[in-house]
Amino acid sequence: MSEDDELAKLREATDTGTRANQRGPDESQQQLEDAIGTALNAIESGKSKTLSVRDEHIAAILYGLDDAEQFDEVGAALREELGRDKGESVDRSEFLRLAIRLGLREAVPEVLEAAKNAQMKRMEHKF
Amino acid sequence: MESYTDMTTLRACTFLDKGGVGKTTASAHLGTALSRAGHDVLLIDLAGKQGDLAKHFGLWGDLQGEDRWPNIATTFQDEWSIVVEKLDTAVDDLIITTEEGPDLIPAHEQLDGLDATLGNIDDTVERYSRLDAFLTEYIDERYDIVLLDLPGSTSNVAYNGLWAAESVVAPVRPGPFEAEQAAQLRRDLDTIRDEQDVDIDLTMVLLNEVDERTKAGRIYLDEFQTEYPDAIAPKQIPSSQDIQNAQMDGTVLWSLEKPSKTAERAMDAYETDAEVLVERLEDSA
Repeated sequence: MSEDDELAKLREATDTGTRANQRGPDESQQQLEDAIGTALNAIESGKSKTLSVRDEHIAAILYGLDDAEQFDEVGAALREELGRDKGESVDRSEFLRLAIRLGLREAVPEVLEAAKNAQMKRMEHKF
Repeated sequence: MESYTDMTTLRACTFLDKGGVGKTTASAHLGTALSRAGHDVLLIDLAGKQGDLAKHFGLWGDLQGEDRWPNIATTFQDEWSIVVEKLDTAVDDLIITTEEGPDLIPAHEQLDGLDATLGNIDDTVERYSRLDAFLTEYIDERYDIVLLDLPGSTSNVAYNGLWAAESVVAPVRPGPFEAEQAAQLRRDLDTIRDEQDVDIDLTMVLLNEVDERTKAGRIYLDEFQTEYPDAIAPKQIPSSQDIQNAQMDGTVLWSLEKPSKTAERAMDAYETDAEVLVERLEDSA
């Protein structure tokens, strides 16, 4: 990235705008909740729920854990951290789901909160 | 003239939780008086996006056409240190010189959004100490005196200014509402001292537009002198049409070709008050 590109990115990152174009925290959260609700409906109607991750370091971690026979142990630790029941050994798909959930919970708990609320609203509507 | 190069940079802010009392006019004129007395002075306009301080020096028109970055709002942000690292002229780019003497970091419309952004920071110290960090690291070494012109409301930006300056100059117009505002300011500063553990001093109460020829003017003057014996400025700023004239011309009183008698008295008052302000700031430094 050139020096000019870096400065342009910094400029964008530091643009606070004005109060008129700032969304209030409640407004942002509601917007996210609505968007997640819409996405859940779309998935129920057939939109793909399969996501793929292409990342050499993450892939190396997973392959490495498998080769070192520590995959199940780390998977169990992820489950425990999220308060999930112990069960059969964790497969790769569940491992990634748990890791993503844990990351969201740690960094941006409000995102999981919005997802939970969106799901609850869908359940209420079904009654 | 004694050099302040090796001494602590003195800081003060003009503040009252009310608009239209003359904070910006006081900042511009005290700053110019200090500059004329030989000090290196920086004025920083944090009072919203209207650019009133730059208008006092006839500079806002030019600034309006520029999309300035970095600007004063940038200095509050987490990315500021990276900006300084990537852009050698980052600090210099903030500052503009005035013909009247002081340097100026003008307001920017992003101060508006900045206040909301600061509101998202939970930790009080983290939220209110940003301006102090910027001044300590990048500004103090360049100037003898820094004057902050704060918004007329207790916003997150205003609190940054109060924390950074720790000394308040409160311009008040004599009147019942203004007297209550000054009393409220004293209570607000007590609260900040108690709850936020920041030692903020009401260093000067500057009476604006006093007409000592009227009974009401003399009564208010007496009341303020009784209520604020230590903080009241030694000279009151008389009412003068030339102050408005100068503002309309985009300048300060000293630049008027033919100042009126009241303008001469106002200039003398600002010069005396500026000198005493420095003494009081030095005493508390």
